Amino acid sequence: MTTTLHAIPSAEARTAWVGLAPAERDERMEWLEERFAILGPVEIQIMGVPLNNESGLEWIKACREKAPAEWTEQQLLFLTTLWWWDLSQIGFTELNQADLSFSDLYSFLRDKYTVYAELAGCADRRPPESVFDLVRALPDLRSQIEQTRVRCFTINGATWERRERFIPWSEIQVDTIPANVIATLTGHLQMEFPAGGGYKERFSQLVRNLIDRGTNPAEVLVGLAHAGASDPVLRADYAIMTCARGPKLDQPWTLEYEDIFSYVALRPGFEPGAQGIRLKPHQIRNAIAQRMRYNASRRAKQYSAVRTERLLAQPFQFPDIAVMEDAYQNGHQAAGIRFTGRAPFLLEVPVDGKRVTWKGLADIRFNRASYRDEDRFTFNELRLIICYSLWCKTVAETSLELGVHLDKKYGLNLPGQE
Amino acid sequence: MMSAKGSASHVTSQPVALYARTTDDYAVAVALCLGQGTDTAWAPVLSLPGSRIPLAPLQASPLDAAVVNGGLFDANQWNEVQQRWFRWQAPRDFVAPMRWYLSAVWPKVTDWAEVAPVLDRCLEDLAQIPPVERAGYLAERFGSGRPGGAVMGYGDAQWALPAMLHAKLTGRPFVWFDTPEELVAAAGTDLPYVTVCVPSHQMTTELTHALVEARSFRVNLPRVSNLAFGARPLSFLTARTLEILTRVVAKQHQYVQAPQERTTWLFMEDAPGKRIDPGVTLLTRTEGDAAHVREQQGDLLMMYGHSREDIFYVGRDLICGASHDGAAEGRLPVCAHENRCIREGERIPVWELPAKALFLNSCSALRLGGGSFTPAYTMGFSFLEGPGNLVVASSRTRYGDPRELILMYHLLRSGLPVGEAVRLVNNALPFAGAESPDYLVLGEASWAPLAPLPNRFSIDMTESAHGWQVTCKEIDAQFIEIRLPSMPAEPYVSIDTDLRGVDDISFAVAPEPDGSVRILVFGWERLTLGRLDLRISFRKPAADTLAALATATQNLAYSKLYRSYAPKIKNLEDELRSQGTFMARQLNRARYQPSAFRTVEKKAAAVEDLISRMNGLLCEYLLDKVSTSSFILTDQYIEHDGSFHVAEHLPADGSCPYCNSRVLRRLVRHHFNPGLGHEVHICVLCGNIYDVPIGGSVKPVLRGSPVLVRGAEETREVLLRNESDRQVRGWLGFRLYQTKQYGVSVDPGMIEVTLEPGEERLVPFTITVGDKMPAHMEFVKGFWVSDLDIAYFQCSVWVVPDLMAASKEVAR
Repeated sequence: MTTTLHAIPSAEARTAWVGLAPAERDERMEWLEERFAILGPVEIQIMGVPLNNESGLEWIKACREKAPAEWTEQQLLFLTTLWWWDLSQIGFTELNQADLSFSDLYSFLRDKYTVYAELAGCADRRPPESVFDLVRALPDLRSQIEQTRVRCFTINGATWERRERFIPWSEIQVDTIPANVIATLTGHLQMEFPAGGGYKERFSQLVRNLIDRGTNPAEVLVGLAHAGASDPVLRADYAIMTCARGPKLDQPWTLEYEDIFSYVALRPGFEPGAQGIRLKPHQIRNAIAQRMRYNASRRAKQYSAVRTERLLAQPFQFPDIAVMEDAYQNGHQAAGIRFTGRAPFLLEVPVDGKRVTWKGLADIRFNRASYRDEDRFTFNELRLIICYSLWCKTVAETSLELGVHLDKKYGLNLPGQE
Repeated sequence: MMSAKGSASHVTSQPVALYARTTDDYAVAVALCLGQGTDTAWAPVLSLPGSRIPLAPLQASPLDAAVVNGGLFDANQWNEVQQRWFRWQAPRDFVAPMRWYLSAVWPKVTDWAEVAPVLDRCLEDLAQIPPVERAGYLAERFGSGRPGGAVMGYGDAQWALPAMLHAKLTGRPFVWFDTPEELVAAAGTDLPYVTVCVPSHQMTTELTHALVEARSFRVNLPRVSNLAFGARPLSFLTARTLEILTRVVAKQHQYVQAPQERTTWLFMEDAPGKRIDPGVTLLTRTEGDAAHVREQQGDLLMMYGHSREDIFYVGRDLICGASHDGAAEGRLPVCAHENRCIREGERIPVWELPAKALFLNSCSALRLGGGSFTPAYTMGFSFLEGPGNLVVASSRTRYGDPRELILMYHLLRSGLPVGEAVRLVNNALPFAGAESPDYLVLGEASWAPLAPLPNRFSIDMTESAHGWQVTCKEIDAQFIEIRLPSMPAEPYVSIDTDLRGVDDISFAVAPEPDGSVRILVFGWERLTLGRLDLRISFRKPAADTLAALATATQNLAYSKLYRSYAPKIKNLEDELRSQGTFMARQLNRARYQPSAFRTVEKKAAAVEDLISRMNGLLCEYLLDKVSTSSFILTDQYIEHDGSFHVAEHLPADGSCPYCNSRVLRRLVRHHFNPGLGHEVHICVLCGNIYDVPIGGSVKPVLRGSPVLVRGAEETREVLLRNESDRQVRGWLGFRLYQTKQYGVSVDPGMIEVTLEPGEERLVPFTITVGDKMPAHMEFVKGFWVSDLDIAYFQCSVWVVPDLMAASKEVAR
C-alpha cells in the first residue's frame, strides 16, 4: 500500500495570487466578481466569518484595492475559493453553509475528484498534488461523466445547500410514454397520439398534426402540464411548464414576460386552503407563471454583452429536487412552493438560418405543497421529470423549427382572473 | 482516571455517563468532553430511540437534562459547539473528524475567527506529515510529549467520535485518516499501544491483515520465517453499530478504574487433579453445561473448546453469539429463519454473561471483516452488547491448545495489558505447536483487566555450548521470564530439578523484534518454588539420535530388499516405527513441555541400539554374501527391488582414490520417492568403486598396499571420514570377493564405529589369504551400514604367490 502527501493549499493559493501581474490579477478578480454577482443565495462562513452575496461583493472590491500580501487569511481563502470554483466549474452553492477552511475546501475538491474519476471510469487515477491542477482537471472529468449521465442536484431551500448527483441516461426511459400521459394529451388535444417510433418522432409528429389542423402546439405543453399534475407516479400538486415562446430568440437577453410561455396546472381536486395556502388556485397559477417568466428573462441576461446587465442575471440550473423551498421566499410561502422537482432543458432552435443552443429559457417543474417528509421528491421521480422535460423540449423545438411560435396567450396572466 | 501508559492523568471518582438520543447531540457532547481538563467528570454515550441495547451496566442519565439543568457544562458553550457541528456538516454532509477533534482540544478558544486560520494551518501541516508520524506530531503539539500509544482510524466520520473520545479518556492522541492505506502506514508507528477504529461495515479481512502486518516483524528461522510476529500491541476499537461502540468507550473508562480479580476458565476438556490459582474457577467438561456457566461471576471469562462464529458449544448447551437486534438480511442462522436453535440444549446469549473481558481459545469467534453470517451473529461483537467490553479471539479455524489459555491468564494476572499479553501469546504460538499468530483484540489493548500479582524470583544464567544454564530461586510468580539476547535456532527447555507435577510446567518462546527472545516458564497455577534449574538448548534433545532416526525411517523404503537380507528386519522395522512415533510425539511436546525434553534424551539410547542392531544385521548379511557369491549392490535396487532407476548421468571426473583414473558417476533414484537414492561411481580401471547414498556422510577408502601375499596375514586399514555435522554410528567390514571358498578371512569380520562430526579415523583389519587362493587380481568389497543406509566401496587387489612377486607387483 502507498500513501501520498497532500498539497499545502494556502501556500499554493498565496503563491498563485502573488505571481499574477497587477493587471492580470484585476482582470481575474473582475471576472470573478461578475460570476459571483449572478449567483443564487450564498451563505457561507470563511474561517468563522459570515459571508453572503452582498458582503462577498464587498470583500472582492476591498481585495481589488490591495495587494494579495495584504489580504487577511479569510480574504485569501474567499478569493481563492472563487478562483478554484471558476476553474473547476463546481456549483458554488455546494459550499453554502460551510465554514470554509483551506483544508476543508481541499478535502471537498479532492473528494469531488475521486468521485468524478470513479464515475468517469478511471478510478485508479490519483488526484493531482497541486490544487490548481486538481481543479483544472475537474471539468474534463465531469464532461466525460456527462456523456452517460445527467448532472443533478439536491437543494435545501432553508440553507441554500446543494449536493451534486449524477443519474445515468440509461435509467431515463424517455421513450416509454405512460398511458396516463397519452390519455391526458388525447383528451386535451382531441387528437390521437401518434404511435410507433421513439419519443422524438411521436411528439414531433403530434406537433405537425396539430399545426396542420390549425392548433397551436403550445397546447401540447399545456396538456403535458395537466398530465404531470395528475401523474400517479409524481403525485404533484402543481406542474409548471415554462419556455421561450419564439420571439427574440436571436437576442434572448431582450426577452420580456410576454415572450415567455408559462403554464401552471394544478392537481385535480387540489384545495390550497387545506394545505395552509392563502392564495386561490388562479392566483397561484398566475403568481407562479409570472415568476417563471421573470426568472427565464433574468437567466437570459447572461447572454447580454453588457456587463451591467449580466450582473443582474440569474444563474442557469440543472435538474434538481428541493426541500423547504418556502423557508425564505414570500412568493413561495404564498403559493405553497415546498417540495419541488425541476428539469430545465436546452432550447436548440434555428436563428437566422443557424442552429443555436440556449440555456435557461425553458424548464418543467413539479411541486408538492406538503410538509410531510415522505412527500420529498426522490431521484427516481426526477428521472420521470426529466422525461417530461425532454418531451416538452421536442414539442417546443419542433414548433419553432416549423416557424410556429408558442401561443402568445401563454405569455400573459390568465384572463379575467388577475 | 486510570489512563493508558504514558499518560499522566488521573481521576479519583467514577465519571458520570450521559446518554444522547441523537448522533448530533453525541457529537456535541464528545467535543465538550474533549474540552474537559485531565479530570473527566462525565462522558457521553449514545442511546438511540427504540434501541434494544441496554445501557447497563452503565448508570447513565439523559444528556438533554444535563444541557437544560447545567452544572456539568455551560449551556451557551453547548449551543456554540452545536452550531458549529451543524455548520461543519457542509459541504460534504459530514464533519471532518480531524477538524472536529482539533477544534475541541484546541486550548482557550475565545474568538473562533481568530483561531480558525491557525487551526486550518495545523490541519494543513498535519496533512504534510507522513501518516506514521502524525500521532507523535499531535502529542507534541498539544503538550503530552511522547505518548504511550495512539487511537487512529479511518472510515465513516461518525465513528470517529467515540474514537476521539476514547483517545482523550486514555490520554493518547487521536488521528483519523482519509484512506485505509494511510491508516495502515500509520499503524507501523513505534508507539507501544495502537488502537485502531474502523467501522465494522468498512472493515475487511484484507485491512485487518494489513494492520496486523504493519505492526509485525519477521524471525529469521526457516520454519517460521514467513510469519508475521507482533512487534507492538494492536487492538481494534469497533463494534456492530456506532451506538454499541459509544458504550464500549464509556464502559472502558469505567472499568479501568477498578481492576478485576475473578476469572473463570470454561475448559471443555478433562483436567483431573489440576491445581489452579485461588481467584480462578475451573469448569471442565463434566461441569460443561449452561447451569454451571450461569453461576459464574468471573470478570474475565476464558473459554477453551469448540465454536463457530455464532456459537460456543458447552456440552449439550451453548453460548449464543446472536445480538439483541438480530438481522433480517444477509446470511442468517437457523434462529432467524425458523425461531429455533441449531441445538436442543439451553442457550445463553453471550451478552448475558457478566464478564467484562472474554478470551476465546476456539474457532472463528471474532470475524471483524466479514464472516459467514452478518455481524449480528458474530460472537465477539455481540459480547459487547452486555457488560462485556473486550474480546480476544481468532477470526479463523484453529487447532488450539489449552496452554494458550493458561499462558494468557498468567500474563494478565501478572498485570500485563491485554495487548501485550496477546502479542506474547501470538508470538509464542508457532514455536509451541501447529498454530501461527492469529489472536485479535477487540477493545482496548492497553487495558490490564486483572489486578496485578507481580512476579518475584531471582535468576542466574550461564551460557553453555548449545544454549544456557539457568537457575531460578525464591520463585513466587505467575511465570518466570528468561530473556535471551539472541535466538540462533528454536530453543528447547528442560528442567534439571526433580519436581512433583513437572509435567504441568510448560514454556513459551516469544521472539522480539530486536532479535532477543523471551522464554516464559509457567504452570497451571502460580509458581512457588525454592529453586528451579533449567537448561535452554538451541538443539533438539538427542539431536543426533533424532537425525539417525529420521534417516533410518526414510530408509525403510528399502524394506523389501532388507527383509530379504535378514528376516529379523521385519520385526525390527515395526519396533523402529513404534519408537519413531513415540519420539515424534515427545519431540512435539518438547516444544512447550520441559519434561518431554528429558524423555527424549532418555529414550535416545534405546533408539540408537535398535538402529545399530538393524545396521549390524544388514552388514553381516552383505559381507557374507560378497564373500561367497556374485553380488552387485546397484542391481539390487534396480533389478531386485525394481523401484529404482538411473535418473541422471553426472559429469565424469578423475577422482578414483585408488588409481586416479576417470570416474563415471550416475544417480540412481527411487521412482516415486526421488529424494531417496544412491550415487554410483565407476572407475574405468577399478570398476564399481562406490555405491553410496545420495548425501551420505561417509565414503570409506581402503588404505594400504594393493598386493596381498598368498598364505600371509596382512593388515589393511579403512579410512572413514564423517562429513556430516552430527555424530554417526555404523557397522564397517569388507571381504575379498567370493573367496570364502579359498579360506580367505578378515578380522574383525565387522566392527561398529562411532564418528564425531568431521572426525577421520583409520580402522585396521587383518586379512589372511590362505594357500588355496589363486594368485590373481580380485576385488575387495566392503560396506559401511549406518542408519539403514548402505555405503558400498570396492577396490582391486592382486594376490601374488610369494614375497618376490609381491615386490615386483608393488614396483609395477
